[in-house]
Amino acid sequence: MAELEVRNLTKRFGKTVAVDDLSFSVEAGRVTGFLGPNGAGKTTTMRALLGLVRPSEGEALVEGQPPVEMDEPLRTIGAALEATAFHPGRSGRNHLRVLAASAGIPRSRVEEVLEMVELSGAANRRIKGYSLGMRQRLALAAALLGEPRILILDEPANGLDPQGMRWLRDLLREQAAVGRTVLVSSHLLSEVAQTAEQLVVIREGRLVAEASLDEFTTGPASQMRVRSSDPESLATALTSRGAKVNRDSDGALLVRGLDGKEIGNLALTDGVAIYELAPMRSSLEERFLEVTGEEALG
Amino acid sequence: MRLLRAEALKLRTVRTTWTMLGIGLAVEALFAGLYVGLVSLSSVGPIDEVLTGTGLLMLMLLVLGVLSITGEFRHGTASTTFLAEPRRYPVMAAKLGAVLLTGVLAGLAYVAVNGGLALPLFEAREGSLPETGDIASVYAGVVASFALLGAFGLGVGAIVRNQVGAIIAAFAFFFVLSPLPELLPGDIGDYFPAQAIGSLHGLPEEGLGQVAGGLVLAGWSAGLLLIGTLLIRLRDLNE
Repeated sequence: MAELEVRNLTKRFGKTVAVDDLSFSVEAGRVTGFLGPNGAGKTTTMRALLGLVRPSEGEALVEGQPPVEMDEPLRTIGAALEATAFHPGRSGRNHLRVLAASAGIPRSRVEEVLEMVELSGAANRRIKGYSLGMRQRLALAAALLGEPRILILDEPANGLDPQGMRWLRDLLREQAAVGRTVLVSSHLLSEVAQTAEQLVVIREGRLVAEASLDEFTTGPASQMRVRSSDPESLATALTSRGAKVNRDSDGALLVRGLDGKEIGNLALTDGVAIYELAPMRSSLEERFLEVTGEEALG
Repeated sequence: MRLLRAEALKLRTVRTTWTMLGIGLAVEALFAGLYVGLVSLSSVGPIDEVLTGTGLLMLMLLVLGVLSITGEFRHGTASTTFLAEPRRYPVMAAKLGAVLLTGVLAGLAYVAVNGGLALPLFEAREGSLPETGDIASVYAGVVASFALLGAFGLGVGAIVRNQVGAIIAAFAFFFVLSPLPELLPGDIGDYFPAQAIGSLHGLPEEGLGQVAGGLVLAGWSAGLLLIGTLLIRLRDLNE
């Protein structure tokens, strides 16, 4: 059983369809990245998994159960949503104390998580005066408070400085390594590429890919780099066979739509010598722009 | 119990609560001192004089009740609250408990200020105190009205989530609706919230008795809370 499961989830706000018949699952023990352009429905999906949004159709399940029926919610799921969701007049420490009180978590744990996110020094100040990075840290502290089995983080890297990013990356990996379930949305693709093993990509509320990072970046649309004795005629031959051909900066061909064997055979019949034939791993960013249908700039 | 502690902590850990109750009590003290001490109005009955200055505190508690729920939506903390306890009813029950408790504590603070200031001044002026039983029942009515107004505000806030809108809606019950009863036939007017508070305080000109007035006000609060809680359950938590 998957720790988190979204089954045919549809959510409409009035006439707008935010999430459209979306299904995917998230397993324990690895970091799952949740990607999609702005407005793709990531936040709505996460909120449905947290029981904050009622599905119009379908369901969002946590450990096989609807989230509103969880017994010990803070010990099951820790979530960090928008970093602005604090009462500005309350201190960081008191924010965590309120949460701890409602879940019967001892006060010593509040100090522990404050220490973990390095906010102990600012804990008595009112949140009004916190920077975006500090708010993110506080949101993460709140998520970690109950030592939950599942973490759901919406754009946790926003506003973090490079040290903070590194700290977050280590934290996510550690959590996954001890067998916890981690679902992170982010628009910082290089950040995701460094932490996530599994990806769920959505666009306009629909699933476009659910794959491991490796599978995703070396998917069918990845390209072959070809250096040869006669690039011009090879290019013509490849194009006539339906391949898409581009030039790399050094004049080598970048071929899409044909695999190595087909390119090699074609070169042989054309009498072109192949000097180099290498599969190109596209970057996560290229693949992301490809599957979400947004053209890469430049 | 955990949830009640969390809700009480929420109220305690923002300045607004203390500022509002502090101002309410200070104004109460000012009124009690000035009015009872300096003005001699033979036309005003003793009970009214004991009650002087409660108006602002009542509004403060009404607003605190509204804020205890609308603040969660305004600042987006409702998400966090309902993550910690996804079941809507227990959270609303805990909020109700916290505002009732705040009302009772504010009521006791009122009794301390009023009893410590207005009563001695009254005695010094009139030479005697109103009947002890009268004073006790008036005070009990005030404490109950504070608690019930907090609940009233919570109910309105759960229905109208927008903070400003909810405060206006709550005030409307007491300011816009209050002249209406005079236009209505019979004693229907006695069942309006503002008039019910008068009865609860034991004001002689109000129609219902103290207990009946309290029950009417409690009925209004319960009705609003019921509708509000159902709406909280049915609606999404998106801000």
